[in-house]
Amino acid sequence: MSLRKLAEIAFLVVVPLAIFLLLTEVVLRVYLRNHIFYDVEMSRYALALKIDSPDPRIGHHHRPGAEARLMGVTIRTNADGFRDDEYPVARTGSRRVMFLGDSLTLGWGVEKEATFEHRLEQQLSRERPTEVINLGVGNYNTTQEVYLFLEKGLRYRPDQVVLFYFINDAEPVPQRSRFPGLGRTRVVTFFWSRIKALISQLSDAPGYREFYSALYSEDSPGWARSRESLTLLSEVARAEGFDLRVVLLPELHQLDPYAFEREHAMVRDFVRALGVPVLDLAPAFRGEDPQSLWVSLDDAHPNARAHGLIADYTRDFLLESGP
Amino acid sequence: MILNLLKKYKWHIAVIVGLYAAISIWLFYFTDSPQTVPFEYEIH
Repeated sequence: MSLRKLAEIAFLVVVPLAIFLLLTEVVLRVYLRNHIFYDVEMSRYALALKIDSPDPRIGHHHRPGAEARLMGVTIRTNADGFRDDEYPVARTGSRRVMFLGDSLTLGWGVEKEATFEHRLEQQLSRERPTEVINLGVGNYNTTQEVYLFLEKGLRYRPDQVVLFYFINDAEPVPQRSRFPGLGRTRVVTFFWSRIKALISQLSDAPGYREFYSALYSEDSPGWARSRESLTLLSEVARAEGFDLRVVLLPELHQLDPYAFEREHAMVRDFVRALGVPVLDLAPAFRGEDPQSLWVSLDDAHPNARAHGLIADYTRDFLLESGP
Repeated sequence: MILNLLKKYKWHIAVIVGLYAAISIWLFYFTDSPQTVPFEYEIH
């Protein structure tokens, strides 16, 4: 084959692909002005609000004083990178509570005023003035939650710390992408996400249920690290004299019977053995239509209504003790 | 040379781009279903 022929074949491979990718990028950007793709929003979240932490146990945290519109709602971070108002480090005379957790505690896809953190601050303040400080960061596991609290939260000297545990908290610390620039393109994120979903639909690849269950196998390093972090947090609570509590948030695919009863029992038993009060919210959600509680069809994070239920079911548990 | 190739293969290019677009539209609708995979996290 002549060199000219080879060049023509290469031309016919490269040029249509480049034209297609360029056109698709433009079409997606126009389409996404009025529509939301969860994976695109997660990429935008990473680019807009996350920065690397020098502590590998934390991995990443929020950029301080940043703002982004994600999943149709505005997320603003304060000077410490928390999705919350500014609070003085020095105590103000109000009861002070800190919430540790991941994207569910952050309130992904939910206006701040509708998050369970904000609702609980309002509800608890009816009993006595209470500041609830939200340390929730998307994609966190238990280890990251605990070490972020030790680095940034402990100096606020809370009366009570509540760790909101979710089934994927036993995942390893997420790694930095090897191709960070690709997240800026909608076309790459779209195809990455949809091809992954296609493989999941057509193959025997583990779905969410098998994936999360496997995190709690005996030899799972993630679950072992979660237990170590919970143990460390309980020791800090005893040493510092704050009330520590754990709330298990339900995974919203299958609520009746709950898909992760075995895994929740493992977490409950472990936390109770540490002498830490634990509340499992999965039984309270039995009878609810799962998808009516989702942020969107492609995103099973709790929506505003689910946040309201979480607040209602958690309120009394937080009032059981403490000053 | 590139302009010549574009002129020579314009219909080939149009058909290939159209094929890619058709596959993409099929992929969009075929996977437009409730979330079935675990939350996936990309850290950039």
